[in-house]
Amino acid sequence: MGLLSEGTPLSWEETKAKADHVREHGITQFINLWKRHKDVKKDCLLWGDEVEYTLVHLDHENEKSSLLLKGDKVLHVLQQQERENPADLKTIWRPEYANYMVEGTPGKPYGGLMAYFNMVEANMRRRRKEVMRLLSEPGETALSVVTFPRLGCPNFSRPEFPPTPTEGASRSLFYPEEVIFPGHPRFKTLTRNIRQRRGEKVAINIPIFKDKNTPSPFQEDLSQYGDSGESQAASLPDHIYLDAMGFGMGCSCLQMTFQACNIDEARHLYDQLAPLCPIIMALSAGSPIYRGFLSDIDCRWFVISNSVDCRTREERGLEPLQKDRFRIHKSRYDTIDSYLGPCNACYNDIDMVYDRDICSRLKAAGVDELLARHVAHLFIRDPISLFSEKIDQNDEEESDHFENIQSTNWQSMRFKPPPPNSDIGWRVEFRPTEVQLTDFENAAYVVFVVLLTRVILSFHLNLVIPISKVDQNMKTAAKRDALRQGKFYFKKDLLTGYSPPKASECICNCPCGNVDISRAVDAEDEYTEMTINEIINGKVSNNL
Amino acid sequence: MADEIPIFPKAGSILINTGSIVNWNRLKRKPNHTPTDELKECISATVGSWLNDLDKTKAQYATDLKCINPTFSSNLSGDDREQLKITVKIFVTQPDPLALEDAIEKVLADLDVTSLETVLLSLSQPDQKSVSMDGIKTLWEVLERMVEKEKILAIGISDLAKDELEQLHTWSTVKPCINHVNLASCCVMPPDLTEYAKEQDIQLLTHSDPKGKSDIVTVYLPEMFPDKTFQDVLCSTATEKDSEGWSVSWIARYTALVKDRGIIKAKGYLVKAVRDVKKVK
Repeated sequence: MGLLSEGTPLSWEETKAKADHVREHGITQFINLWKRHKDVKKDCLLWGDEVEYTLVHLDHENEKSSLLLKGDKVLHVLQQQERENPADLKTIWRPEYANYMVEGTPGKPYGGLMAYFNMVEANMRRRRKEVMRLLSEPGETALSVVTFPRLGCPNFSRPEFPPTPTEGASRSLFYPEEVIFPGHPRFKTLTRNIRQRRGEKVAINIPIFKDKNTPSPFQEDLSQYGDSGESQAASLPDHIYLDAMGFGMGCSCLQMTFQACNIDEARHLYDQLAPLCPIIMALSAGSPIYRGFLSDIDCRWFVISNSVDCRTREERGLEPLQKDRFRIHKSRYDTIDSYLGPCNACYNDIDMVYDRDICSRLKAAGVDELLARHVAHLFIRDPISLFSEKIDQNDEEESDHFENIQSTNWQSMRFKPPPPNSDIGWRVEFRPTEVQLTDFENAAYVVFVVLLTRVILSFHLNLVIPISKVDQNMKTAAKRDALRQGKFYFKKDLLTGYSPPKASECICNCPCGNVDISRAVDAEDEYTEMTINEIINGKVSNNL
Repeated sequence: MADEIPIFPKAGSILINTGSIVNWNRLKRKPNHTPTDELKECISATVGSWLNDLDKTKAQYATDLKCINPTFSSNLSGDDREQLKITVKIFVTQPDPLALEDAIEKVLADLDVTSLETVLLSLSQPDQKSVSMDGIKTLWEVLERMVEKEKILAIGISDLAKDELEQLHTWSTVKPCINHVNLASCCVMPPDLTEYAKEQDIQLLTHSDPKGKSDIVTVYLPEMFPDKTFQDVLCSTATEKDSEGWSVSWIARYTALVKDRGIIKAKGYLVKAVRDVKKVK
């Protein structure tokens, strides 16, 4: 749900003018947080999950379904308990991008005992019940589904609203303004600012599934939706064209966050879970239909990635760099670009763009090279929403500027420093899982991932492979039927104690900063292609 | 193989200590790796490495063997003992109170701790038609004495159906806090058992350890570690003569969990076997 500062949002031009200010103070805030918490040890395991629900109206008589724009009303009631009795919460509710979405988390984090795993499903059931209780009109219900198949089709919402291609935050041919959550200015502000920064509407082109009767090439005449020609030019043949942030951020996912015992363990788990992102995503795949068309993908990842891609034409490499500082290879929503543990520096084999000045500043403050580069990479981005009341901060006690940039880098994993003024420690967030229809399935994924972290730590497993291979895996994972047909790069031998000669040249005892990370290792012997079945259930080998 | 000179012809008892296997790279994690397979591999590796360093001359006269793998020490004393939750499951095939007591004392000594959080008892008598409540009671009294002496904090039992569990619960002074139930024998827990457990505040935990017979449902499962299996392991690591006549007295499996973090700090096995040397040629 991201940073929900109070107050008055600035225009894009005003926000852009303050970008350096936000970055500068954001880095100061990070340095302060890091200094204060870098030596904290033995925090206990605390963890939680986030489930996003979609409010739906089912008209059985006319066999029509539509998205119910009641998020604000429902949330107002759901959040009552938090306002009135914050001490004894069993569930916590937050708004999400669209007014048909609500997001629920457990009231208190789960802990380190095995018994907590038994509580996840029950708490999820409780959350669903709380939402359902507020949907009392006939036909109203809540689903935990990744995408609503007819989002963006004519009259897909209830109430119905026409899209406004020439005004509003999205300027979409398909996505009305009123679908965006109205209860907080953040979401409309982000939408407008991303579009204005980019210089044009976002363009999402999803490969269409070629069914028996699908025309070849498949190309919609977008003028029927009021297009002046801009969208037609941005759309690709044989693709489903979408043109708004809402098509991405209106998707639902399942996220897990857990607290590590110290910063090193957090970095270690971040690295170990990164290769699992594509695997878990392929396993949980649940979003093959967009704007009423069957697509050739099964996962939402690259839809969301394109839906918030604020990069200008220069940054995207379509024009030479003049006004912008960096050529940037990825949208601000995408997979991570580097491992954080010094032992894995040699697997960082992609060209990661980062701000050299910020990196130097962090290193001067004592932050090691890898972590400094990671933060300097996050901070190549401009803030895309800013509230007037939050411009001037006390960098010792507040961290809104850091969170501003941090929370609008939407990556497959998120490394989360402790917030100021709290007992919370270093945390890691696992973000790629597609939400499932039932509480049982959602609980299974959550428990599986958290248990897996315990197994990785208990048995000192090592799943790390070159990060470029993880990126390739993510592309494979999103494809139609990747679960059964996809081949994924995966580590051959999970047990540590084996390291190839080249890798050992840059490995040193964790943690330290003295690594030669300019050289990536060619670790071809360490990984091979496997199917999801082989990764999860094992390969039958003949040598024991 | 039958002509090979035995390495320890006079040995009448053997205590095998695998040490903490958590760091073992050797253990190839095969899919469907059963507890029996794991134990087999651990014993094989421990005995194997012990034989390598063995003084073969002295071994000819040794009567009590102690096979330990010193690299994988499982010493759990130390500053963070209070963060650990140590659970031990003891498998016996006879209701011999001395064997059970021996098992508990050996585990305490090996881990270098003064107490264990939980001990679970598994009595499996494959030749018996039904579970012997008398046998369980005999052993339970040993556990109760240990609780009194504060060597064990909580005690539990394995694979009892509702009626037997109720019998034990009613009769005992120190009540069972856990009934450790085989996952394979009941895809769905019998409702009378779950209800009773809830009433009496007994935790129903599941395991995948094989045992001779499950009383929840009449299912015949292989034993945890039949004597023949033990003998076969010794045969392949030592010699055929060295493997003859052994019978397993008890198996103890311990797990030390870091409470706040849910991480396994140590896991290992102790196995005690005996034989009458006079009967072995």
